[in-house]
Amino acid sequence: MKRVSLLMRRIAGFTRAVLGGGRARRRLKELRRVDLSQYVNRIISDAVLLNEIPSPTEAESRRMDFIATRLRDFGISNVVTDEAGNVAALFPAFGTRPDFLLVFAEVGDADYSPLGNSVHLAKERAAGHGLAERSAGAAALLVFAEYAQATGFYLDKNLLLLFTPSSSVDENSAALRSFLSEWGAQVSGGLFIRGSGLGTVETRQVGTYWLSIDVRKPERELLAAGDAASAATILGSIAFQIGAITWDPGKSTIVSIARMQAGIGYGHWPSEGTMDVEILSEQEALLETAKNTVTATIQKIATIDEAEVEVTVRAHHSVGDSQRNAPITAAVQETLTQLRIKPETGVIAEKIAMLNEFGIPGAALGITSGKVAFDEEYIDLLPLETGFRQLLLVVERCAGVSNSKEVELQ
Amino acid sequence: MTPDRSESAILDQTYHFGDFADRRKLIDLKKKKKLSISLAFPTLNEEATIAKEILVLKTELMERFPLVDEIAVIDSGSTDRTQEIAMQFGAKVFSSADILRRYGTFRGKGENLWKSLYVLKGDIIVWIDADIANISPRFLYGLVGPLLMHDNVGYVKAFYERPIRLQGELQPSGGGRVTEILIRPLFSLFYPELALLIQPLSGEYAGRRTVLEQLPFSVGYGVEVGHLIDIYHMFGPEILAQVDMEMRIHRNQTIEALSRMGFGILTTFLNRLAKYKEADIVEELGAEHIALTYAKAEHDVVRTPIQTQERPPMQTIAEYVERFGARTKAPAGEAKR
Repeated sequence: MKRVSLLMRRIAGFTRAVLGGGRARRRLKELRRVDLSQYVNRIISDAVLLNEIPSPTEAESRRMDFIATRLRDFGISNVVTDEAGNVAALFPAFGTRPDFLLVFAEVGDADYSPLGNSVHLAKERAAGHGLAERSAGAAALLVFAEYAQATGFYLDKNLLLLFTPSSSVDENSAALRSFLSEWGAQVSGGLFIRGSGLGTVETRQVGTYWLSIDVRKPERELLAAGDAASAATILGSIAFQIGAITWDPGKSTIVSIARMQAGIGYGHWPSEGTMDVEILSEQEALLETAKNTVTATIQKIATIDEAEVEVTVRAHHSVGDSQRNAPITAAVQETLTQLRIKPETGVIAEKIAMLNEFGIPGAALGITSGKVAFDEEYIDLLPLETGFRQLLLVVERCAGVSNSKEVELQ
Repeated sequence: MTPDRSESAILDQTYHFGDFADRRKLIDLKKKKKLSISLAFPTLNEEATIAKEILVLKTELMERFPLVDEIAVIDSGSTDRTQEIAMQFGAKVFSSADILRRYGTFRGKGENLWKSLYVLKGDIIVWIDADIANISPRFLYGLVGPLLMHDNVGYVKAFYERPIRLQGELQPSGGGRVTEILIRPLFSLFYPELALLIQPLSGEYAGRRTVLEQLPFSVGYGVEVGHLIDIYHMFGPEILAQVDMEMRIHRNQTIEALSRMGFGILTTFLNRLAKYKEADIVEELGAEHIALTYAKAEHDVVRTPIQTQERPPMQTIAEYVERFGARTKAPAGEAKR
């Protein structure tokens, strides 16, 4: 991604000093009252259009093209894309600071849907697979870009809006990681926008490891002599043994068998099997220990039962750093109080934990209430205006957030 | 015989919606030509899809890009929440029965379209079916584009891939069964130029008021085929254009429903043949669709009356002329009277 010259910022470097905190306070007051109703329909409309783009395409290129085109249609000139498929829009600040506030959303799909994920829009809610988890958040960010461009919204800090391709197949969020690897040093704070979860303040640290275990035994006849364990028996044994471990007295670490499958059915000896294991922990060190112990236990059982076994780490999401995130979660909390939304405590989002890995404080913002479940996914329409106002206020408040890296940069 | 592309006005005026994707350019043309554009949805119990259609098109093409001047729903008396939802999402809602009450009312899509001409204000009228599951702005700007960019075009039809639901799964194509089994053979026999329309029965089309107000309207299923034959005779196929919208997902009708639709369309078709003296209908046509059902080892006869009434051209309606004037200027091709 090319480095964009921030000429405006340098020209008016003194503005911040002149206007100071008074301007920020006035802005917050204005944003509390500004009429945002017209933007609500735009969020819903863009969410529908994004969600219904057939998928998958390479790196979600059709959806990313839709976003890039739309940003340019808004008149934003600083729209850039990178090789990982990310699309970003830059709003330069008046000032000389090189760091920026990152506001980002995921764009993508969880499933093969060549005919699109249809959205059903009713009086109170919009329902459709992928809508609450991804499309509504991306749509809200698009409309934020439109609002910022149309109203001349700017911060004392550069603002970078990032749309990052993502799907459940991409368990490690490769595009976002790629972006952070290149630009992380200049990000002073991050806000992750998603469809549902309005009012959730994510302070609870929980990390995960997703492991896949493949077990293989030599083929044999079902009635052949011998009492060797089958792949099914070995998987059962692994499940029993790792399920019996107490990881810590506070039970903050959990090992869950997410899926288990072996054999091809009656009349056949199960020679192959697979198991997915999910490890969750509130502490990074314990998470690592649990992962190593689970792996070692599996290897030991396999050795005893003379089985070939392969353990693959499918994904690792670190626990996050609530302390580092504190300035941003405080801004979220303050905004929710101002908007009279009762906050609820939630688990730090994987994407924010990833920011934390790069030393960046962050928080996730839900744009409305809704539900994300296997068989049902929807967003409520009524809270959208409040959710969008929350986004504007939090962004304004986060302009003042800095992290330890900034000191080094300046 | 294969039609020669160079001889076919319709194929020459076959576009892709992407040809008209520059919405700012369309808005400039609209302003320059001092035209206004109205969009109407004919509805009957469409609460499942109408909200999305109105919201997406209004947001995109009235607010963000002010291409359309009004959006209306012309409702045939829905018993679900179609009217309430349409109002909530910002459309003007008209009950078909309340428009031009003096002329009575029939239930049918064609009736709604005919009456919409009286209540809509635009110089260009766009009609879009309310059951599209994958609505997109392309359905609207794609239809309006040829009318704004080409003064000789007077009537534009959409065409698309139509997925069909088979055993619960959506297959990418296979829809448009009535077109392929009934209409294309008939057009091939009587109006080979119209057989070059890829989807003559598509429910999304747009026209200049100056053309539409001169057309009679079948109140039921035959409205589209009636329009095409009348345009062919009155203005010539040169004013027809068609636009590829890529894919349209909608609910698929049962074979029984398609059979009734076929009856209505065929009635209009045969009436037009007689009107233009292209065939003699020597006996009065039946007024009921006849079908058979099988249950408990017995066949039962089901007779369904199908709306086949015709509404006269709006220009012959006094109230309309009073409101819009007796305009006559319309794009003209080579009329086949």
